[in-house]
Amino acid sequence: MDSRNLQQAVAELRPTLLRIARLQLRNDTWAEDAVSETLISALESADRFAGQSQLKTWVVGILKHKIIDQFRRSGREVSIEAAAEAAQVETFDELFADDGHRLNRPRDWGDPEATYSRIQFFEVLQMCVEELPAALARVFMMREWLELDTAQICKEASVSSTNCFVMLHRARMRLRECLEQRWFAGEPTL
Amino acid sequence: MIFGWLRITCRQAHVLLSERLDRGLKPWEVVRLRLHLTVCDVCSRVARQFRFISDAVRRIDT
Repeated sequence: MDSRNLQQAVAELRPTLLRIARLQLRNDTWAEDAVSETLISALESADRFAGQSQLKTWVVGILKHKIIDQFRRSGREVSIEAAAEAAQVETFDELFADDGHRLNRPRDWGDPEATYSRIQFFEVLQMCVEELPAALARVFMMREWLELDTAQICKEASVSSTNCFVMLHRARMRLRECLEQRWFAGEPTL
Repeated sequence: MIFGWLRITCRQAHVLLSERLDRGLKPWEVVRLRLHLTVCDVCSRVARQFRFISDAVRRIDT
């Protein structure tokens, strides 16, 4: 790929990068900044992209670093929102009886690979992540998409490890519920 | 008596199912969770769903 084509190919990735950055950062300005820095950095170091991986994979890798940098710059705001969210108690009483046993039976989600092959599924997944409170979504995406370990997440968001585990649990419970209703509800239950 | 100590509810099992994706469980937590999963197909299903969600999010940029 010559440099002109590469430049164009990188620029074409912008909408995808912005979508992911928004999902993770939950702030449009921060997302724009992280993506601009990613594109600049990608073009500057284009000679290091030897075509050994897919261009998109390479650029997304750069974006992940820029997003972490952005979290560090916005530390104060992120930690204030995380602290407020950590103070929320969510008991999921609609799911469990008083003795702690589950009231309703979750659906069988079938073969994961079959679901991952559907583009529409990822649109629903994204919508479900967007519906999470910002602080929950950030912590959850740091864990599952940035694949940071919990010690690092607690540090970035300035929350205790206990609060961190609770927030991740709440995020998973909500996403599970959301996916079940928005995607799997049409499938037959077993 | 020992079974009473090892027994956990679905509510507690759901917490451990999430936390095992984020930290190493203590040996007794592993035993309690395994025991619960052998008798509870609801939580076994949720266990698969939590893993499903992790895998799905890792593919969100593809």
